Amino acid sequence: MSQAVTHFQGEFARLAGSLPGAGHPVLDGLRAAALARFVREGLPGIRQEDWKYTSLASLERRPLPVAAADAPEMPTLSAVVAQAVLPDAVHRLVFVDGHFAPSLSRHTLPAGVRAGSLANRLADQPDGSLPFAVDRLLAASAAPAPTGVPAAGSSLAVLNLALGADGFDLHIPAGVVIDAPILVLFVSASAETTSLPTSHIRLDAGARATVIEQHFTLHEGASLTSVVERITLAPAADLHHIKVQHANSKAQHVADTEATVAANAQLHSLVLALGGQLAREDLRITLAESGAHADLDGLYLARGRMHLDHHTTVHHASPTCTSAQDYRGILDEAGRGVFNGRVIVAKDAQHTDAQQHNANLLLSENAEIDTKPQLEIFADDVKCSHGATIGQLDPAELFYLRSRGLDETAARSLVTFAFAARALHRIDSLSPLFAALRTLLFARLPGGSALEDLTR
Amino acid sequence: MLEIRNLTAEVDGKAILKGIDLTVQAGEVHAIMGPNGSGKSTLSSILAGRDGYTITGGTVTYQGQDLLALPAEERARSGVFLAFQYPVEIPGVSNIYLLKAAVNARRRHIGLPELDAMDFLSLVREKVKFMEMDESMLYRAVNEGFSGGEKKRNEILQMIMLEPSLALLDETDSGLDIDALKVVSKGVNSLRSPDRAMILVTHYQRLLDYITPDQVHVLSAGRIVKSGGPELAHELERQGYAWLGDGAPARGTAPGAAR
Amino acid sequence: MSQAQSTLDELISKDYEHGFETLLDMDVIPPGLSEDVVRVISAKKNEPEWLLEWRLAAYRHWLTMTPPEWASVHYPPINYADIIYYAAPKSQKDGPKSLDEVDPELLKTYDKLGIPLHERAILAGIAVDAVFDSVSVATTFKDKLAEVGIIFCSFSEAVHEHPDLVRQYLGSVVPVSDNYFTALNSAVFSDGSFCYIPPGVRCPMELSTYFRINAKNTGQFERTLIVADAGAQVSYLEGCTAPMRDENQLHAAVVELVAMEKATIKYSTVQNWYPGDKEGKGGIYNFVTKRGECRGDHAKISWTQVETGSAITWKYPSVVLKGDHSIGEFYSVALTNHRQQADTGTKMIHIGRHTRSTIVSKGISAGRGQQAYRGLVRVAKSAVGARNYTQCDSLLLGDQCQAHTFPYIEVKQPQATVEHEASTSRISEDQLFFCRSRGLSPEDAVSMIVNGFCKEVFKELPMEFAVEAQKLLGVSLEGSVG
Repeated sequence: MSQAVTHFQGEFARLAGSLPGAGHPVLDGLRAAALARFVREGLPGIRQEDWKYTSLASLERRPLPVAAADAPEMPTLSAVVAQAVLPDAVHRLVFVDGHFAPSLSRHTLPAGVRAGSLANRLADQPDGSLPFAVDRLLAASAAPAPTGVPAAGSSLAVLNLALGADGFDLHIPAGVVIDAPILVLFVSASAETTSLPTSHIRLDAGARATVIEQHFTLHEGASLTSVVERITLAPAADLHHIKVQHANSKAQHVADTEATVAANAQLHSLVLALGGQLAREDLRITLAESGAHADLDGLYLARGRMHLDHHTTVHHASPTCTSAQDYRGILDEAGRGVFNGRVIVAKDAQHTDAQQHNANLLLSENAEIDTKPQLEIFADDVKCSHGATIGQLDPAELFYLRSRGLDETAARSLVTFAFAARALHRIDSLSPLFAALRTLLFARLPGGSALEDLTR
Repeated sequence: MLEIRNLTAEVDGKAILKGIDLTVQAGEVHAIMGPNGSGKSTLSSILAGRDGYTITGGTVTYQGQDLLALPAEERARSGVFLAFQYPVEIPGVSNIYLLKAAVNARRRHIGLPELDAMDFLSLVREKVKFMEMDESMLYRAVNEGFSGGEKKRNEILQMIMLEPSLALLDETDSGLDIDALKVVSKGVNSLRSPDRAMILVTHYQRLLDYITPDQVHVLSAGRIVKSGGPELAHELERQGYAWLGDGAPARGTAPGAAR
Repeated sequence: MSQAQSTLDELISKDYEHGFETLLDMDVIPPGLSEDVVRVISAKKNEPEWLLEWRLAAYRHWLTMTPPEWASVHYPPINYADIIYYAAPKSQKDGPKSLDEVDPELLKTYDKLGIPLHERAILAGIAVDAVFDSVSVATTFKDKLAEVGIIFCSFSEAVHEHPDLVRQYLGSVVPVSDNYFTALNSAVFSDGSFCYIPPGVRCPMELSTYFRINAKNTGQFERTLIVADAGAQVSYLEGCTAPMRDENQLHAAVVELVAMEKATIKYSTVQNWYPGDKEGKGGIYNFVTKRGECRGDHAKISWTQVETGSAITWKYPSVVLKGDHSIGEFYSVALTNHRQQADTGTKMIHIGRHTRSTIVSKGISAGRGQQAYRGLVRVAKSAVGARNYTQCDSLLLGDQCQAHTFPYIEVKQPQATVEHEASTSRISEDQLFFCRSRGLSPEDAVSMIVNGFCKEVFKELPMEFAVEAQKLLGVSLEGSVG
């Protein structure tokens, strides 16, 4: 038996009794079933098509204990806020090692909006199952999803169901519009631990909000954060979902995010992968009813020996839905990027308009990119396109800048930054959020510090 | 200011410039006209230092130094400015970043202190107003989503900010409506001064109604086949480029123009 | 049903024209596969010991393998024990010495297919190797080619006449163990074409192999090996047909191309194996491995394929770009109609510096046809300055068809440029209306649009083949060729 399986079986034996809602037969049954799937399959391996380019061997060799609810070193508010992209956010929810930290959180959300800890809900209402459908996840296997069918979540994601104690829980009732961004900080405070936050975001009809989810480490050691997140948008809801991941260079981050978008609802997703020794993002979006729209922007910036993997699936399940995807990668030093984007157009999803683009810049001899933009089309009246490029900086742009007096190095840094900043195109370039994200980019791009001066 | 002697150049093994001679003094405005494919834009690109051209012979001296030996950015810092025919879009880089970087690179080069943020901002605001542009465009990405007219105004704005010694304007009038043409011309004329030279590269005489050149040269098939005063431009406008076939000097057969 | 749809249906519903059967006295071995069968095949061809050993090794390796399951095609498991692995027209023991000795029934068959084997009556400038079931029945223009040093003959003949060349190159591009079907082919291949162009020789005519499956329940396992030595040039055409039968028949061929320094090989295929009937009954399983290797600097290998036949097509003509500045190309039109399935594409493996590859794939799905483009562009660390451009477009002509795109791109070299573009669309009523409002009939309008869609590929085909390709797509190609 694999080391990881033995390890997490042990963790289950240690923790199952203390999980929120433990003792309730439905919850207990789901958790046992989840563990059973993990025991059956172990960690995903590189023989699986979806994990072809990303090995979890280090996780298999050295699985880390699941973090306890009370971090031995609870970080101070100032330490957490110092890392926040919006230090002044009025709605700030903080999770430490996967557990809600009320003392670091605050919000002024209107009555009727539920925003906080999933654990509370599981403990308060153990009469129901988990707040999202888990059947597919439990029934899934290591076999690749057939053409035309989105994946259901890996055997790693299933661990959150078995062992996950907490996560972000958001419910915005119909018609409620939240203007100020809701900042959700996931802090890994304890080295040598596994965090398993499980989050659920639900917007009822016509609700609108912006959620900024930030994942980072406050230690320099190894850790694993494995996130499961489910997003449900009712008709005409509108969610901006921004995820920023900047863990330390020894940490691992794995996320399995699934969103269902109902009629005329809109999901605007932005994922910035800027840190971690290994980070894998699975993002699956189902455009479930007509008129649904999703746009997905992504940026991965791998340096050192970072390995950043993005798997996206946009499933056009109904007619007249639209999607646009733009993922871009900058691979420097011995960084490695993986992009796998699937667009599935179901049989009756006529008048689909789906676009996908993946652009990559390789900046070093040792960098590597593996990309696979897929189209799987079962309808005939569709407009779908995808593209992928791998290349260098545009000589025309470089010349333009040099003809304005910028030296080669400065011109290169500026064009590299421009390449990255395109991922932020939906964010107001004069907003504090844009400035904060720009600062994160500058700190990680070649010649970025020189550019920082220009923005002052 | 600028002295070009028997300049020849090729692209991908094909000769484009076949011996250009041109002298431009400080304070002068020269217009270079010619039909499509005559080598006009090649000449301005070579002067600005764009890659992809092979200089096969001749010299270019600018303010006493060998211009061709300098990389593009050194030329820019020494005061050579090219207003592009097709300004490049650089998403993600705001106009104001670029202007600030460019102005300070030039100032450092000529031994002036860098402008501080406040001085820079008030200067750039003044120039933006002068070019009848909206201040918001300073914060937009360089040329991204700009109309043809906006791009050309933006080029001239950069030129005014950089105060070059030698300005090369490559087909600056192309794609401009009459109002934009007037604004662009106003910008160019505001820079005319005894210590500054300008070369206008253009297909049509139209721009020259607003910016009167001291000299007009006709480029055809890689050679200057005729030079004269402003009246030459009017003659071209009346008769087209075809009549040059007969007027070409004996050594220049100018096949492109003779057709 | 819309007008567009009915016009399309008419166009794509043409019957298979090559479905007749030739009645010949055949030499057939019983179905089933074993070491003994491999020995029988080898003995029938009077092969040297090393080749028998090579076959046996392949067979033993095949036994350890399982059929690939990753392709987007669906078919019941093949019972390899039911297949006949050798079937040949009975004739003189050593095969025909000249065309006069070829069975007149056979000559008639090829005439009927439009492939003249009489040199006198031949299409100008095409040398043909005709492969009928398991054996090559005739090769034309051999002598004329020999004058310039070109070897063009059946594979069996090459084994005897040019053993050193065969031994040097056989399996050197496609290893026996490359995949399930290459191992099978290596064990039981019966014939095919062999071609060697000596250094500096530009082949004076198009070379061509015409494959015909005739016998019932047989598998066709041919092997083609083309070697263009330094500076040589050759253009090679391949055509295929089979009778209409209710059973599926397996065709598992291997094609190996070797291009040395500055050599050019252009390989064109018009594949029109029997596709099965409208309900998906019968048809050929076309499981083919084609690969070329640019071994020298400035070598070039170009694949062009028009795939309209077969119940299932599974093929990925590929190029390994080892030589610096070498070039690989893949141009493909694939049409799937009724219940046809195709999983096709290419692999471009960039190893040498400044290697370039171009991929243009046009998929047309009609009826319940399903089609996948599957490609790999790999740029190794050594391939400084490599460039790839890929374009794969799908045109959807039916509301029950499928079109999938699975491009794998792996790049380890920062000085490389890779561009991949893909689109999927249908012929819109607007386009049709526009054409009709300019006076075109609906049929002509659809033809024009489909032709326009395939134009980039058709222009890569030699003229004669382009004409056949147009016919196959059931559309006239006015003005888009040449």
